[in-house]
Amino acid sequence: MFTKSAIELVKEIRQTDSIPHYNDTNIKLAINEINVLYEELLQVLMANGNEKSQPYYLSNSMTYFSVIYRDKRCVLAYLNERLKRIKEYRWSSGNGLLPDQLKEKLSQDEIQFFSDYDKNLTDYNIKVGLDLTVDPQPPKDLYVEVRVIKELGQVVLNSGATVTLNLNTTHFLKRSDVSNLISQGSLEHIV
Amino acid sequence: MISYNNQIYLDIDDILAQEQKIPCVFLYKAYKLGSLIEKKKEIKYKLEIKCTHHPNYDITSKCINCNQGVCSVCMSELHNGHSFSSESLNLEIICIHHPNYDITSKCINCNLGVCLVCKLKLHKRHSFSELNNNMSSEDTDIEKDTKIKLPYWLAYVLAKKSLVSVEIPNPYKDEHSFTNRLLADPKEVSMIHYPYYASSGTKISSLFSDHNLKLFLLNIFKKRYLYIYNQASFLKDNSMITKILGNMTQFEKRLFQEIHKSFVDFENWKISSDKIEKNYYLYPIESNINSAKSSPNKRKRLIFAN
Repeated sequence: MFTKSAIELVKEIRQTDSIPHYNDTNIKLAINEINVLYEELLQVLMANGNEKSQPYYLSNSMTYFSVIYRDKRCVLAYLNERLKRIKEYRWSSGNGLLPDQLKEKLSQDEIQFFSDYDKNLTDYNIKVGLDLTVDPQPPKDLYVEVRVIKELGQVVLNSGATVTLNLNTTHFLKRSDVSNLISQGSLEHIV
Repeated sequence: MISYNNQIYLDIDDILAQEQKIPCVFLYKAYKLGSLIEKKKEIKYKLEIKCTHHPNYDITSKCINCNQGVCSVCMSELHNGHSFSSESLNLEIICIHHPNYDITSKCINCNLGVCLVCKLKLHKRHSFSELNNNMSSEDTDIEKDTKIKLPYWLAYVLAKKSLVSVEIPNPYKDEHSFTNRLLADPKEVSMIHYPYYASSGTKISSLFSDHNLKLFLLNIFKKRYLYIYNQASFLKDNSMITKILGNMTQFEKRLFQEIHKSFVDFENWKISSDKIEKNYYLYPIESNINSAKSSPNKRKRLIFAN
């Protein structure tokens, strides 16, 4: 059955909300299928140029053409959905670095895309003078109390202050400074 | 078919909805489409081998655990709890009497599937017809009047050029039991086998220019939506939620989750905690939970009035 590998790609990404492993084999299979079908399509059209609008040949060329189109569409949808999730990760983590367990799931191009996207976003944030990924909703207090659950040592915060974050200590810090650290799981917000 | 909005054009659900199989009949002899079509499936229905255990039933599926052909009675009695496949039926069914041999022929006298040994011993002097396993060779022309199931996207293209005639797929037919059940009580029906019922349905209704089908789907959706909205706003128990989600189409699942999330958010807002949560969304970065236990003695409080 045609388009099998391409459809598997789409189904695979539908099953999960996170970013699955980059499925190199299936993409190569789909591209290979496109190339093979394209060759055959050309051959049929060249050999039967005069009769190509006869139903006997027309059904063949129409089918091959739509299968090629379909394959392409599935692969593009797969890649597009992955890029969407990578962008989402950048926004929700507020972090310009890829953790290792995520990095090994991406292809080279996607890693490149992530760093470019990160660069764009950071440039824009600097120009605006505001980290857009922090606090999409207006906060109630400017300062929050946090407990350190991961040893960090001396840290320079965004606002310029230096603080020593030792394990199990609690601090009263500026919200915008620490929200990234909290979402990464290094600190815990105490209410 | 082409949309200028990339998001719609490359939408995952839209692509999967177009996989809905539509029965098509070829109006002309078609050129070399053999590998495209699951011909095996079609041939399966022409096998008509009787079941050895229950002579009144035909063999309809293959038991994956035992590699045997089974009928509907065998499925529930002899092969209880096994898994079955109806797709690869004429591939490698082993003979019930001689487990070392595959069934290769059909005995015309008894309508039973037989292996090489059966042919010589049990069915002596009967006549046989060969079961050909390799019917789906890549370069077969499709004969006129062949009936096959094609996915929507292909059926659409071929039907527009009048190369095939199309039929409405079973679950959308007026008299089909699934449609009747939906009509009777839309909210009780499990959609687990039709994850894209509504979105495929709208596509199909435009292919057949069937306005009634559209109205029918709209009607069903309205009733189901009320039910989903109610459940999403009241249910708190996670096991109940997963149970309910299992019976929904993909679109309804998304709807349910959105509604549920907005209600949870509203509850949280009422309590008005402003807590920054650890981000579990995509990739939680491992934290050492044991060391997170705080010891009150060590507490320090630093205030940075910056």
